[in-house]
Amino acid sequence: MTDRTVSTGLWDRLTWWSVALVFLFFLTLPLWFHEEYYLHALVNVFIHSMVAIGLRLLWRTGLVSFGTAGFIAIGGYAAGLLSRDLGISFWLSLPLGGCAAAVFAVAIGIPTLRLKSSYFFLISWATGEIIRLSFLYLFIPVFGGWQGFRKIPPPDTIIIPGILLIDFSQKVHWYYLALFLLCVSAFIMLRIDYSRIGTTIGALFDAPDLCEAVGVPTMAYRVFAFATACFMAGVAGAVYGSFNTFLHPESFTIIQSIETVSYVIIGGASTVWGPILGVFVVKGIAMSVRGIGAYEIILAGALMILVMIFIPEGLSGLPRRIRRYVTRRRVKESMESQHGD
Amino acid sequence: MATEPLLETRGLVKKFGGVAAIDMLDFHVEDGEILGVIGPNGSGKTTLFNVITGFLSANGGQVYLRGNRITNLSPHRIARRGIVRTFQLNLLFRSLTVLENIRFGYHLQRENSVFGAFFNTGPTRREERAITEMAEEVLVATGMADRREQLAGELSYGWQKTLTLAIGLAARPRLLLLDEPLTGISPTRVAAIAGLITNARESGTTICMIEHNVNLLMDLCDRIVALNFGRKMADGLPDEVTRDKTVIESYLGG
Ligand SMILES: Nc1ncnc2c1ncn2[C@@H]1O[C@H](COP(=O)(O)OP(=O)(O)OP(=O)(O)O)[C@@H](O)[C@H]1O
Ligand SMILES: [Mg+2]
Repeated sequence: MTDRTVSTGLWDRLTWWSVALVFLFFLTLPLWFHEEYYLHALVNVFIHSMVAIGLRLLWRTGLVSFGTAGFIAIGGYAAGLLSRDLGISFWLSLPLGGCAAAVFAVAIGIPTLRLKSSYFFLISWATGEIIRLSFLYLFIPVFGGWQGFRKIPPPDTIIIPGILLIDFSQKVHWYYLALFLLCVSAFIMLRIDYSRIGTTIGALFDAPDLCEAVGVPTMAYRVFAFATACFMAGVAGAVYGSFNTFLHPESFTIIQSIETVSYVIIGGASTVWGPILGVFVVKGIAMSVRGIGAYEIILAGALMILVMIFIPEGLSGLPRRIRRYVTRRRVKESMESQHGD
Repeated sequence: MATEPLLETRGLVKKFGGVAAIDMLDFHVEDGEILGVIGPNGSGKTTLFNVITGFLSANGGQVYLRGNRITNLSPHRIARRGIVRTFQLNLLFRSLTVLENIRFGYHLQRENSVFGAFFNTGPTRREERAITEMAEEVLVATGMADRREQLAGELSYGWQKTLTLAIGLAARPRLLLLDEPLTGISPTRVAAIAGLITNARESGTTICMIEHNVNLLMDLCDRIVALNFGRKMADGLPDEVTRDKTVIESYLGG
């Protein structure tokens, strides 16, 4: 018994050390690596990672949303409208974009999150598509319809005279903005994970009825998880829109939503790091193998199926699985030797 | 003025596809008693618990807690008002440890908000520590101290049963509904579990328990209600009920 707790502690420390190293790597990367193409790609990877760790929270309650792309779009369009048409600063439009998506999530979530998970899955799918089509066919003078939503302004320049000038004219500035936002999201998720909120969300997956029986308002937790996931998707959409200066409804199809789910499954949902790993694996392979780009969703789907069959807890659960296997073997051997005495 | 019972159902009806599992049932639990509920398989005992605690909605009739209507409230609201139940089929947080399961019992006793939990404030940390200490006491009392780190899903049936009881005890409700708390418990431990139930009553929790072992109920209960086809077949002192002719015929197999 004690052995288990000790090695878990060691395990946690190892995870934290590797996360710290990876973080330092990406923090210093632009100092010695200047290829715009890859920096651009990494901005997208960070943005998708934000969405993926948000979706993980909902996943942990036992539900999965196939409408994520719609909520990214809401955040993007809302923030775009605020900054382009109302002249509101990007730094305010960003959280407001997240809030718009979250408010919409609450409105959709309250009647649907109490349904069976298969119904929620279908409704989230429909919701995502309805949102996309709304941006395509409604309020065309505002949203732009098939023309897309154009001329989204970049964030306002940050100047500390003599020390700092961030004007988002260079990829590096975007790189650090996206990295910063990912870190903030990861921090929020970790705080949730390590508090009783996270424990309760995990328990919700195990036995929702028992949660209710001891007084946990399970609906409130589900709505919270869904709203938080959509808030992060909305913020990600806001950055995405400003980064590309342009949004088009066709970037937010069901394909995009499925790919987000695949990140969570491929990387694994047991830690915050899992979905981020999932994004890196899918995007990494898609970028490094020439000509595969267009088939990214097929790659993601195939990986998702393979992982579900062979490592249900996801890639991030692989080391732990190996370790458990080794300990089991050792315990078995020691028990056999004891009985042999 | 007569003192009103802690819990009361009036004309309660629960139907499954036209068949009444609870049929116009008037049932009550007195404050501070240990009430046993018996009846043949399928007589509606678990269904009664499910309707009282809001897991199933009633098709008719009312449930009152100290005279306040609680019919068809959502289960967590009913729990918040002081009724906690266990599940016949050992519903547990299977991927959490025994200790973590018991800690969940304290959910309603928390005073710090979720914001405190998110920011991990001093008061929250103190509260979580206090909960762990109280949970450790329950662990010792229920004889599960050496299983504290085991996953609930890996326990034997009997220990899972004990754990469901432990969660209920940790919650310290006004009324604890136990669905067959002694089934599958090893004979050497039955007396200890019965002791836990009596102790809970001494510390202010009213108990209503479904149980098939009538001999046990004779010693443990102040009163027994026998159900059959969702109706009350007998209600009274343990001696009376177990000597009741209809009960013997339809249930005890006289
Ligand atoms: N969710 C449900 N859907 C349909 N029928 C149900 C449901 N729950 C219970 N029933 C039916 O209602 C009747 C009463 O069942 P209940 O579980 O309350 O019996 P019980 O007295 O607890 O029996 P046991 O001693 O076997 O636990 C049974 O005929 C059962 O088949
Ligand atoms: Mg039953």
